[in-house]
This record gives sequence, structure tokens and C-alpha cells, in this order.
Amino acid sequence: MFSPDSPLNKPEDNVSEVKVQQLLAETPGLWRGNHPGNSNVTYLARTYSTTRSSSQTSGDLFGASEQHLEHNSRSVPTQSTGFHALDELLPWGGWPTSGLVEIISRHKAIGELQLLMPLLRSRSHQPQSLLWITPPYQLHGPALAQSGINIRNSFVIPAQTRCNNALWSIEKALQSTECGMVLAWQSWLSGRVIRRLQMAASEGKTLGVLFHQRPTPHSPATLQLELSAAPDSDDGCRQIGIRLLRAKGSHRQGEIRLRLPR
Amino acid sequence: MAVNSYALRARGAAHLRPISRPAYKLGLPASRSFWYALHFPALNQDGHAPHINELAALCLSVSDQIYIPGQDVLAIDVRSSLRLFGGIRGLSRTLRPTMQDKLSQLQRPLLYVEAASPSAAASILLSRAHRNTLITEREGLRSALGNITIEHLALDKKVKNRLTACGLLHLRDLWRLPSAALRLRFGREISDYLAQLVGEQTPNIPRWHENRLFNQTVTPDAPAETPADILVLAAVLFDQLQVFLRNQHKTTSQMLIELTDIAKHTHSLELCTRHPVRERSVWLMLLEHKLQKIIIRCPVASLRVMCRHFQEYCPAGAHPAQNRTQHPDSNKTSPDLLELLSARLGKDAIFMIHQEEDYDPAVAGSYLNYEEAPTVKPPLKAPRSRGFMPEGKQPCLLLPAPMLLTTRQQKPVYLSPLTMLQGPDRIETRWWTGQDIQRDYYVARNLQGMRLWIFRDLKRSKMVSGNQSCWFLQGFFA
Repeated sequence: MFSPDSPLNKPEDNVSEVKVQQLLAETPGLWRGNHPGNSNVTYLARTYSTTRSSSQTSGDLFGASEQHLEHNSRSVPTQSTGFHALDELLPWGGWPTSGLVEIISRHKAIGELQLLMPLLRSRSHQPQSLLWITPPYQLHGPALAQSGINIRNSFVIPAQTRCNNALWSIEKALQSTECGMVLAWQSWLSGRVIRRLQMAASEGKTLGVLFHQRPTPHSPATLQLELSAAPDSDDGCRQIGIRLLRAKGSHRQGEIRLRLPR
Repeated sequence: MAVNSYALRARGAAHLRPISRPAYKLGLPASRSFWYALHFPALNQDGHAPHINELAALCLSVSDQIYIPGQDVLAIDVRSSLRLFGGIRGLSRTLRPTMQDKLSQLQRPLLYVEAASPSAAASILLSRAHRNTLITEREGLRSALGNITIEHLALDKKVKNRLTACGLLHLRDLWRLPSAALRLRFGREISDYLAQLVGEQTPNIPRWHENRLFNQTVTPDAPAETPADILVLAAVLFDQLQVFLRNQHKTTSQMLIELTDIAKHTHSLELCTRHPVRERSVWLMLLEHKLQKIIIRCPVASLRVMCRHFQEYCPAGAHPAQNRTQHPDSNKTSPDLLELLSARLGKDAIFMIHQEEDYDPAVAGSYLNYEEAPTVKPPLKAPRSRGFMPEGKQPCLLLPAPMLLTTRQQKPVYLSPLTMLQGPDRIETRWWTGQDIQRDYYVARNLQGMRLWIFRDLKRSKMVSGNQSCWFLQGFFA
């Protein structure tokens, strides 16, 4: 199944699981048949795309399953992110309309809300309300309204709320059909909790966005993105680095640098 | 017990003097409504305001169209009841024993004056003027009211004094004057009132509703030990409340629940909903979440549900705010998400984002308690800020209070030295409060890539020495 040149094909090497992981990390396109030339995404950095697998042509089993998964993932209802490059990075061509999106950034205020602004704009003008759960600081109504968000449809549970109450609120809001979108800030959540929230979001067909500082390994969330600060562009535009860690139903990974609007 | 002349006159139906005998014999007045007024002169003397409501409740057996214009008088539209009671005399005879029983129960004199006419204002006036009179046709109103003195009119005291000063002592004096001239000299109020007296104008008569209280207690055979047991007890009372509300055609948005444990300690829980509701499933769910918040140390011996405030029931679809979500798998109506969150987190834990038109960012962006938010769904198009803020210059996240930044080589530092990207933008405001603001705002960036909204306090910079910082962090461009 593996390429004949692959070190994994040599049993005498007796590579331990840790070493396999290291190897995969060093050569990410090894068993996914990555072919940067075939990618339809303009990557500024490393690209781990599996959409155009070279193994597809060689009848590779993994390639076939990739193709199947990719086909499935295309059927997820989506909404454009408002950024062309990000739409191309995401396997569904936009934000999923329901489910859990994990946004991981070690530092706050690097442009994480600005990234979601087109989505927030459209969601806030729908009849369902927007719920902001434990944002790190007070939300500034005039600035949100200036960005085009309907703040009369937005409700906040402040940061003083206890963690268990906040998690309960996130779950109830995701289960509810009255809530169009939930934005929640938690420093870290276990995979078990995220799975529960993911199920709640599936039940209510609601989109939840969780802002973390640390990634959760093997997260069952629909989408896991890692944000990083990037230097401003030459013309002074704010930029942000986005790394796709995991997307449900797809093995696609990648990293882009996005120009945020002024 | 003292019985004065009014009561004696009221007891004798012969004192009710019909104006038009043929119409009276038919038992049906010619006009669209027929008002039977009862005046209780003793109630007004020492401020027995609630008593009129108790007396009005007795009149519900006659008609549900009751009007209470004052604390000593009530009027009932009895047109549709005349046939049932065999005319106004039969109705008066039916009502009299219950009225007298109630008055004696209230320890008030058994005196009241009756009057009936096609006009509510005329009936009230006749009863207040102590005329036990029955007028069945509108045409008879003018002559019947003519002898009533001005002092009995339901007009402002100043107007009545002015009329008396002009030598107008009786209503018949007013009938002689042209309506337009009266209106010009004494105001519209008097001409409208005169038109209402003779039935030429129909006033907007507010209907009186009995303010009933729901107060029921359930005491189980065995004390309730778990929240599930308490919910079972509550369900019984909620069922009763639901029936009560349906019968009254009402809804409610708040109720008090008292749990008394076997040690006689009482725990009070208040259930509130954003919109009035009468579905027990909503209350049960809210109570379930409320019970999670409290600690009951002993088993509950009794549970009491008390509901004082009611609203008129609005059918589903008539008011968008009352459209509740239904669980797809059942017909149960569920509480609003915000009501549910409020039940668990408390009333003061949910806010609505708000904006004020102010240059001071701390004032411009504040939170409102969600209960102060409009209950009707907001319009889908949000109003935009009107020129108090330059485009894209203020951040989405603000600190509750500006944070003093340290400086390194005269440069502000937040995790790392800051680089200014934009600014300064000066904000000077609140000079009228004595706590004026003079700030130069900048957009800055640190080495971690964070974009910050900082300001240099100009007032502070004049006061502090060179080593002290006058830089503050106000918010984050997230």
C-alpha cells in the first residue's frame, strides 16, 4: 500500500510508533500522496493538501478513501468566510453552517474576531440571536455596530461566570434553535467536553465557535484552526496566519496568510 | 347596624321611576347598552378603595362588563342580562341581598343608590346625585338630568367653580348654552362630557377585571426528598395554575414558589419569563434549573405556588414575542433560551450589548440587563452608529477600566514595547461633569502581534513627573 521508497515498507527497521509520528510530521505528504503542484489553494507556507492525490492514479487504497471523504465533505452546507483564500483552504469552501469550530490562538487580539466579521455580520441579521459566552473583555457595542453587526440581536454572558455554568450555557445555546451562533472563550477544553458540545451543535443545527489558547489533541470538532500573528503587509495591512489543523470528513491540512481588511 | 335613607330607598323598587313606561315594559332598552350604576357614598368617606373591587366581583354574576370610574361607584352594562333577570327590577332584586351581605361583612353602612340609563355617564351621575332613577330611552336623559347641580358633575373642580361663578348652577343651565360656545369658554372636556351624558358620544370605557390571586399549596403524604419529587409536586400545582389561567383567559410571566421543609424552613424561588406564558412544561423546566442552584437540607414538606400578576392571553401567532419554540419530538413548549439561562445563571448574568451616543468609550459601550431589552424581536436591520466614532478606529473588546501601562524609554509597553500604527485621535469630552477627559488615542502593536488601543492621558501628563507613565490601555482590536 505504501510507496516502495517509503521507510515504512521496511519491516527490519522496526520503527516505533513515536518515530512514525515524527516521520509523518517531517514528511507530511508521505502517505497522503501530496502533490503541491495540483493544489488549487495558493499557499504562502507549507501545504499538506490531499485533495489531488497522486496515489489516486495508482489506485492507492488511501487515495480512494480520501476521494470518498472529500466527496462527502463537499456536501456539508457552508457559508463563505468572506475571504477567498480561506474559502479555498477550508474543505467545504467556507464555514460550516452548523457544528463546532475551534479557533486556537496563543495570543488574543491578533485578528480572530475580524476573521469572523463577515460571518457575524450575516448571522446577526438573521432572526436567531447571537450569544457571546465569557468573552475575555467587555464587547464594545459601537465598534460592533460600526462593523455591521446587529447588536440588538446579541446577548452576552460575561467573563465572571463560573466555568461549569459557562459550559452548560454553551451546550444549551448550541442545542437551542433560537440561537444562530455561539461564540465562547475557554482557555482549554478536553476532547470529551468538545465532543459533547459538538453533539449539541448537531442537535440544534447551530454554529459554535470556541476560542482556545491551546489545541485539544484529537478534537472531535467540525473544524480546528490555529491562528498566529503575522507581520503587516508592505502597504500596512494587517495579516494573520491561519493553519488548518483538522476538518471533519477531510484530511486536508494547510496554512495560509490572510490579509485582513483595514 | 345603621341603615340610612339611601339604603331604604334602594330596597324599595318602587323608587325606581321609569321615564318611558312602554319601553320599560318591553324590558329592553332601545340603545345599544344599558348601564346600571351603583353608588356607595359611605365607601368614599374613609378611603375604602379595595372594597369597590369586592363589590364589583359580586356584580360578575349579572354581567362581565363592569366599569369602575371611582372608588365609590360602579356601573354595569346589563342590556344582555335584562331578559334573564326579568327586567331591571328583577336584576336589582337579585343583586340586593348579596350586596347587603357583603356590605355588612365589610362593616360598612348598607346604603347604596341605584340608577339605570342608556348612558354610562348619566347612570353614574344620577347615582352620585342620589337619584334612584330608571331611564330607558336616550330622549329622556336630558330632562332627567336637568335638575342635577353642577357640583355632582365628573369635572375638574376648577371648571366647576368657573361654571358656578358664571351663574350656571344646574345641568339645565348648560343645556341652554350652545355647545360650541361652551367648548370655547370652558374647554373641550365639558362639551364632551355633556355629549356623553345624553348618549351622543360614547366614551372609551375600560373594562374592569377581577384581580384574582392564584395561591395553592400541596402537602404530600411523604416529604419530597429529591428534586424529582419536588417537580412532581410542582407539576400538580402547575396543572391547576394552567386551568386557572385558561379559565381567566390570562397568562403570567412571574410566580413565587415556596418550599417548606420539615424543619419549617422556607425557600422562596421566583420564576420569571420574558414573555407571559401558561404552559406548565415551561415552568417545570425553569423550576428544574432553579432547583439545581439551591441547597435544601431537609425533605420538603409542602410546596406553594403564588401568582399575583397576570396579563391578557394573546393567542399564538398574534404576538411574535409569544411564539415559543416547540420541541420537534413532542408538542411540549420549551422556555426561551434566555429564560432558561437566566433560571440557572441568575437574572444579572445575561446582558444585551448596548450603545450610547457618547464620545467617551466607557459610556458609549455598555451592557444592558437582558430583561430591559425589548421583548419583541428586533428589526433585522440594526441602526448604525451616527457619527460619534470614526470608521474602524475603535476596537471590539474594551477593558472595564483603562489599564496603566509601564513605559520603557518613554515608550509604552504591553508584554513588549509598543509600536504606534495610527494616531493620535483626540477625544475631549465630559467637561461639564467636572471629570473631563482629554486623551490622545493610538492604535499600537506589540511584538506578539497584538493590536491595541491605547491612549495618552493629557490631563495626567500635565500633573505627573517625567518618570511616571501617562499611557493607558483601553482595548483590543481582536
